[in-house]
Formats: sequence, C-alpha cells, structure tokens
Amino acid sequence: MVFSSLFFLLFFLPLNLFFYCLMPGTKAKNIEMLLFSLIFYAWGGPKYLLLLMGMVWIAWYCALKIGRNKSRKRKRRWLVAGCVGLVGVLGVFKYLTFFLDNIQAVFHVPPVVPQLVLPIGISFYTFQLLSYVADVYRGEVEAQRKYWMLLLYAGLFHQCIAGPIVRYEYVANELEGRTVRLPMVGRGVRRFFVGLAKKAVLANGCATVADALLPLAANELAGVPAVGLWAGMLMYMLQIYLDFSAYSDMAIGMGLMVGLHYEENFNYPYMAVSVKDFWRRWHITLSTFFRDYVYIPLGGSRCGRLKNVRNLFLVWLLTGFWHGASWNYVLWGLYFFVFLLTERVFLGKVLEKIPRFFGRIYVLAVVYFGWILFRSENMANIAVILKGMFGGNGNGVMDIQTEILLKNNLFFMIFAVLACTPLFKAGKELLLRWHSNHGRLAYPVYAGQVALMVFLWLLSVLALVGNSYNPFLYFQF
Amino acid sequence: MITVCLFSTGLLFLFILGLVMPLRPHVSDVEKRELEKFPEFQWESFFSGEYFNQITLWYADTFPFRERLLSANSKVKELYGIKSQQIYGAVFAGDEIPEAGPGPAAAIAATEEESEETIGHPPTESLLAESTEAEKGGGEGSQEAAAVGGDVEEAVEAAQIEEEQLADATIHTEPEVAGTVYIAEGKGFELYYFNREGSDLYASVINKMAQKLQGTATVYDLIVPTAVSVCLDEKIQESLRSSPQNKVLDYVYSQIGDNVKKVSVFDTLKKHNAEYIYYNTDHHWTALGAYYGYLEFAKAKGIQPHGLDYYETLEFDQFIGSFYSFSNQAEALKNNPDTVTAYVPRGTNLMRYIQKDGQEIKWNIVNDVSSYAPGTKYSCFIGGDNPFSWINNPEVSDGSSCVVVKDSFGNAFVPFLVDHYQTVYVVDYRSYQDNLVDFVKENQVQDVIFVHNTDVLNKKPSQIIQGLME
Repeated sequence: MVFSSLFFLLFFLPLNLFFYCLMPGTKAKNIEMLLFSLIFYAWGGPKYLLLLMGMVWIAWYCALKIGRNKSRKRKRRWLVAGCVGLVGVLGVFKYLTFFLDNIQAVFHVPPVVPQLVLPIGISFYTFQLLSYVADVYRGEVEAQRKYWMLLLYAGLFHQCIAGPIVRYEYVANELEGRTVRLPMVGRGVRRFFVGLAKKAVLANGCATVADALLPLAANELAGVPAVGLWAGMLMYMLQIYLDFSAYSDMAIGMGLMVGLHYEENFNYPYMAVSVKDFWRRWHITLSTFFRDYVYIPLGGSRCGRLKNVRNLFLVWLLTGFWHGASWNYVLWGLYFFVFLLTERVFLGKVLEKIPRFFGRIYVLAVVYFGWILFRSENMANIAVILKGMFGGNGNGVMDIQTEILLKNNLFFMIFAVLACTPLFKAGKELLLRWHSNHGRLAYPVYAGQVALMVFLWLLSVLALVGNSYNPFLYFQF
Repeated sequence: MITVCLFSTGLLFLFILGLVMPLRPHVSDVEKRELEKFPEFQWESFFSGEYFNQITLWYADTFPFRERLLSANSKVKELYGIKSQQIYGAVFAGDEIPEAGPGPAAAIAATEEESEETIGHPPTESLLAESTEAEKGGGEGSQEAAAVGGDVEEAVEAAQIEEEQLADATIHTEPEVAGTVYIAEGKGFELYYFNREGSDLYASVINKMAQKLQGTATVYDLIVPTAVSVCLDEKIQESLRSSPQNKVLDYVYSQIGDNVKKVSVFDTLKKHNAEYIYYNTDHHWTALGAYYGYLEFAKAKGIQPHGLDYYETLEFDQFIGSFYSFSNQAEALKNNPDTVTAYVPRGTNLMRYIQKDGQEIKWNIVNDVSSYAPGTKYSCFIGGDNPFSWINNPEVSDGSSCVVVKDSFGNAFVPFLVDHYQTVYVVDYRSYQDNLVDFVKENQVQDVIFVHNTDVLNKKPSQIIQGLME
C-alpha cells in the first residue's frame, strides 16, 4: 500500500484514526497501531511480514543480551552478532543477486543467478534496527523488553517503508506514553496534506514529463533532442525531491496526528550552498545514520589524513550502495565523495568567500549531473543521455514534440521549481510578521491556511482518482 | 481546531462515500473498458500480495463518480501550460520508406518464423482495450431506426429486431488507437510510424491470398490512410516524425501483384481534405470519407456508383471519439464534438451478425445511435465490430456476392456496397475464426474486398490476416 493511493487515504487511514481515538490508554493505542501496521505491511505480500518479524526478533534478542551482560567483551559479541544478522539478511535480499550477477559475468559461475525480490522497506527498517542495537550497546537507550513494542517501532506504517529513518532513542519515550494536543494534530494534518499534494500533484506530474522525455529504451532515448534531455533531467531532479520529501512529510504529519515526533528528513536541499551543505539538507536521517554509525566509529576526521579519506570514501561508497544494488548507485555515491573531498581540501574555503549565489549554482549543477547517474541502472543509457545533452546524438537542439510537451506543461514546471524553494513558507512568515507588527491577530493567514488545506485535499483526491501512474520512487531502496 | 474538524468530517465523508457500493461504476464510457472487479480470494494470490494489490486497484478504479472526478482533473490540468497543441503518448520514429519498387518481392517474409515484436513500435492493442459491455446505452434508441426501412414487411422484421436488440445491445468495437496522438485546433491526429517488416509481410499475405483465390474470386485491396497524412501539412508531419502515408501506400501497393485490384484512395481523399472526411475527436474516417473510397472502388470494379443524394441521410450529433479518451479527456476535443452522418442503403437496412459468443443477432445496417453514449456513436455502422455479418439485398437477385475483410474503417464503407450485391458478407479479420479461403469457395463469392486503415501494415495484424488462410 502506498500513502498516495485512494485505498490508503480514504479507507485505511480513516479506520486507523477512528479506532485510535476509541482506544482507552496508550497501551491499547499501541496495540491498535501495531495491528494496523502489520496489516499495512502484509498488504505488499504477507510472506515478507515474517521477514520483518524475524529481523525485529534478531534486534530485540541481541539488544536484550547486550543490556543484560555486564562485561564489555560480551556486550561487544552480541553487538556484532546483531549487526551481522541484520546486515546479513539485508545483504541476501538486496545484494546477493547483484553480486552473483557480477561474479557470473566474470567467472561464468554460478550458471543460474537466483532472482530475489526486494522486500518492501527492508533498507529502511534494517537501518532503524541497526541504530537501535548500536544505541543499546552505547548505553544511550535501555533495551526494550517487550518484543511487540520493538516490532511497533520498526514496523510502524508511518515510516517503515520509505523513511525517515527514525532512531529508537527519539521515539522510545513517546511510544511508552504520550499526550496528544489538538494544535499538534492540526499541524500534523496540514503537514500531511502538503505532502500528499506534493506527491499526488507535483511529483507525479513531474514524473509524467520526465518519463516522456527520458524513455527507457536506449534507441528511443537517442532520438530525444538536447533540450528534451536537459528539461527531462530537470523534471526528474524535481520529481525525486518532491516525491521523497512528500513521503517524509506525510510520515511526519501522521506521526503528529497520533502524538509521535519524527525527525525532519529534508530542508530545502536545492537551496544548499555547498555539496556538504546539500547532504545536511537531503535525506538527513540517512546521512546522520552513516555519520554516527560508520564515519565516527571509524575515527571520523580525528585521525590521520589518509584514514580520514578512507572513512569518507567508505561512507560514500555505502551511501551509494544503499540506494540500490547496481553500479550506477555506487558511482553516484563516489561522485559525491569526490566533490566533498575537494571541498574539504580547498573548495569549501573558496565557497565561503564568494557570494552564496555562486555556491548555489555550483551545487545545483553537481546535483543535477548526479541525478543522471541515478536515473538509469543501465550504464549505456547514462552515456546516451550525456552525449545527447551536448548534441552528440545528432537530433538537433529541439523538435516540435518536445516543444509541444514543454509548452503544455510550462506553468506547471515553473510552479514545481518554486515548490522546491522556501518561497511559500517565507511568504507565510512574512504575512504573519506583518500582522504581529501591526498588532493584529493573523486570522486571515489562518483562514487562508485552512482554505488552502481544503483546496489541496480536493486537488489530491482528483489527482489520485484513476491515476494509475503512482509509483513511489524510493520503494526500491 | 478548525483544521482538525474539517479534516475529520472530510475524511469521514469520503470514507463513507467509498463504502457505498451502489455508487461504484462498473464500466467507463469514456475509456471504453470494464473497470476492475473485486478480486476473488485465492491462497496463492493472497501470499504473493497480489490479492491485496487488486483490492487497492479495484478501490481506486471504481471510486464513486470516478468519471466526473477524472474530467474535473483534466480541467485542472488545462492550467498546466499552453495547450494550443498537444501530444499524448510516447514518441517514436518510423522506418525509412523504400522507393516503390518493381513488382512483388516480399513473398519471402510470409514464411518467416514468428519473432519478437519489433522494438520501438507501439503494440496494436492494449491502450484502448475496449470491452464488450462498455457501449451499453443502445436499446431504447432503436424505435426510430425501425422506421428507416421501407415497406411493411421490413417494418415487421424491424419490430422483431427491436425485440432482440433489447435483449442484447452490446456492440463490439476492437481497440485501434495506440501510439501517439497529436492535437491541434480541436482535432486529433494519430501519428503514423512506418514499419518495414510489417508492410512487407502484409504485401506478401495479400499476394498469397490472391494466389489462393485465383480463378475463384477477385481480390480488392483498399488501404485507408489516416487523417494525419491526408489533413496535416507535410512539414508538420515531418517535424512530428510521422511517416508520409502516400509514400507508404505507394511502396506497399508496388509490392502487391497485379492479380490484386489495388484501390488507391489517398489522392482522392487528399483532394477532398477540406471536407468533413475524418472526425475531429476520433481516428475513423467519416461516411463521407468512406464514400470517396467507394467511388474509387466503383472505378476499380467498373460499376456505376450512386450519387450521395441517392441515399437517405441520418445524423447523430455529440460524438466524442477515441482521441478524447486517449488524451485523457482533452478539453480541446470535448469542445469540438463531431456529428456522425450515415447514408442508408436503399435496397435494405437489415443485416444479421454473429457475436463473439456465437449468438446470431438481427440488426440495422445503419442503426439509430442518438441515445448511445457520446464515445460510441461510430458504431451506428453495421453494429460495430463483429466477427461475421451478412446482408441480403432483396432488390438484387443476380447471385452476386462479396466478402469485406475489414477493421472498423470498413464499417462506414460497407453500407455503400449493399446496393451492388445480392449478398454482402463482412468479416472482421481480428475476430473471425474460420478459414476465409474455404468460405469464399464454398459460397462462390466473387469479390473479396480488403478495407482497413494503414495500421494494418504492421506485423501483428498481417499475421492475423495470414491466419485467415490457415
């Protein structure tokens, strides 16, 4: 089930919230949430529910052992056991096929590579569980004694399948006991709708244009003129941000509705002034995960220069690899490694001195070309796109079809670009400030907010009805 | 507070709306398809998740007021940009068209093994997968049609027809539009991409057919160009990468032997392209377009064609055809609806056809469709697409007969043939199951007339026609 399906929006979510309100205490509410989460997860194939439960069991058992053992050595043993178990399962389901494919390509064995289907959300919940086991080992949180509570944490349908990667320590207390206040619910509702409209209207719209301009078959791709490729990549760049951040918005919003606070996952990444800054704003929970559980334990920057470079390299190799079991993602991760290293060596200082505008342009360019690597798992296609962008495919700059397509979506594209900037948020704050400066209560702003919400609600339902085009990009990770 | 209240009531309202089963539609008139059905429970699909997946699909696909919401959505999308010209569907490029060569050379292709679908070419079916029940809404409209006939005898028979029509008003129309649709000035055009392999196969299949019928019947081949090449400026066609169909037809006809009478209609249609010979919102030619085709046919056969004033004329307005649904309800097309004009043959307006399920139905050659859904009015001609139909003209008794092997472009064409033969058989090659050659021989048919649009020049349709000989 995806959030942006009518079935979820108009059937599953109302039922979930309705029963949630009916439940008397936190424990009953938790049980209700767990049941709904299990149904939600089972929707994508009940057999994978067993996998989720198994992995939670590994984390639960190892963390308990870590908590109960006094000796450092034993704790460490259980930490290793837990990590190996979790990463092992992830490795089998996500990477085995890829490795065997590559081995087969070089050594011609094994004769048949088993094709495993990636269970939904495995990359996200595995990381949540890893952070939990590590945090218990570090003594930052107590081990959870109740298995079902840990299952609730990892399997909660808000964030289980597409993030944010919520750390156990942040929600542990709220899971045990929480109070819900009306303003918070209101905030959650608004956040949810912004996310929904972002996904259903903007991201899906961008995807339609991007897919029309960047067909999958290489021979068709080679027929797209240069402007088509540039515009197509731009729409893909917008799509990937809008899509993914919309998912986080909806998760955060639904969390607020039931009194849970999740971490922010995006902070206008396309406004970044350096690549380093970009990664502080893009998929924040993933970058902090790698920072706290890989980079810093390896020594971070507080070690020799060579080791530091090694650590950085490892982090970005893993970041790329996390996004998918394919060489293009690895390349994409290392591509950022190169820029981050350059910034560390000298570029960062330069960027600080020159006007921020140039930094922004530089980041956008780096990220834009990065998405070309990200777009296609087929390396040949990447080459076709790059070549075509500079007229290498011999189709000229523009053709009538591209022109019509761009004209047909002109206003939409402009709006989508603006939606990636803090423009709307800034506008709202400006209005609020104006009202408070003039000693008035900002009722018009609040009324506008409510009206906007109703409008987004209608727009999203319209867009979702019969909208067969509805894939969530981040599901494959 | 207000936010929460609004949200709760809104959610509750839509939740309940989603549960009102009687409000859920079963078919889509615009998309001409049956909507998803609630899945049957199976353990296998349950464990794979497919069962749940289908429930989700069903829930969205049959949501109450779906059609109205869809059309509202397309209105919103009108605001996305400048929509004076639009393109829907993926963009392809056709194969290079060879010069019209000397004589048939393509017989080899017919024997080729079936290989995979040609890459880069749209599949002929799929996009507008139409279903049987999609075109309900007939039935009541047939009273007037009964009056179309002439004498008492016919009126009696027509009354019987009405009875049977009430029993089943289902009309079968095969999916035809696929690929890319270009919209400009309120008119849709399906772009045409030449397929060399399919064209060669087609030519060889027609040659083979003529060979098998040598001495038995005369084979006529009428390939109808689609509007894009007839009505659009050549430069625009070129910039859209749409293959020029006049060159395609020249080439294909050059590959077909002289024992086939080639009825070339491109030039005459081109000459008349200021007239209403193609619909704005639909991929078919109009009855007027088909009339010009008929004039060319009469020339090839050497008979005297009738003038248009010879026929009684019926008009059905508010036709919004296939391009509308293909473009996901482009407003430009909705605001430019078509009028279907039909010419009723003099000899008779009665016909019979066999449905796909084998049932025999009495029907009108030109049927009153004024009460049909806007998307289905082209089916006023010979009851839409049926595997097999036949028309006996009581005014002719010379034993003459023909078989029209057609796709839906043939539907508008058939009424003009009625007054020239004692019996007109109609075979829709896409659904006819028997051996055509045997049929022609057994029934001593004199003329075999192929009438279809240029989409037939692809591998799959040609293979299906090839199958008619086996």
